Amino acid sequence: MATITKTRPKKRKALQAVALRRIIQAAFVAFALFAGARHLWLGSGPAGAPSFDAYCPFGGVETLFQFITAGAFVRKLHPSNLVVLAATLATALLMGRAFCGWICPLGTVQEWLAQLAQKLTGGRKAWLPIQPPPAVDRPLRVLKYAVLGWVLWSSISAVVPPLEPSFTLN
Amino acid sequence: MRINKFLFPLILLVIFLGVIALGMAAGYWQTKGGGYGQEHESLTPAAILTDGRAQRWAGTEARPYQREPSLWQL
Repeated sequence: MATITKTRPKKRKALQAVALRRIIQAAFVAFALFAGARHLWLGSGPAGAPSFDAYCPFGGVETLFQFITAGAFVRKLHPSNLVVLAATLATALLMGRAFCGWICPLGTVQEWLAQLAQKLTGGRKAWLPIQPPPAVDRPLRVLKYAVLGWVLWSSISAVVPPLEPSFTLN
Repeated sequence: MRINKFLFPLILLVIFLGVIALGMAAGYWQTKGGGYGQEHESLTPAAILTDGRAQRWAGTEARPYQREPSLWQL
């Protein structure tokens, strides 16, 4: 009995912490949607609204080389990208990868999709999302460094950002 | 170091938004005019008119179309 009364508040607090994380994540997704909708509606240019690209920290990575070497920015990226990159690096330095789990809208959408897949494929015994065994997981984790290397190399060697979808599709 | 689970998000937001606020205070928060000039941008949902101008759906202005078409036109 004593164990139950001790664990219940603990469990409640853990659930509250999860709810708090979801609220913060949803707030940042809402901001991303708002920024995107505003840009679509008002357009760009002096009288328009900035696109969500302007708030992406990875834009800072993309334009960093050009900014350092030429004091300029690659297309569609702005000083705000460097500010958000600095904020992201500061959180990474002090709190690890908390940015990805609490703030990044892309991470939140991925999490929501994974939860949806889990629900659709049987709840607790779901076969999605696939959980790779450690022997497969460990080498696959190296892939992200390869992607980072490719993005940095592309940013250095090209004038246009490699992840710019409208350019890529053109 | 382990910290309280309710303090963690507070510190996270203070650091993240604090650095952005510092950037703003220092005058680095510019969301336009970085990669290229603002005057020729026409990346909104638009339709190309027969004379080559772009008519924006959201606004009423038409201006010379000088940039690549947006995703909406593909």
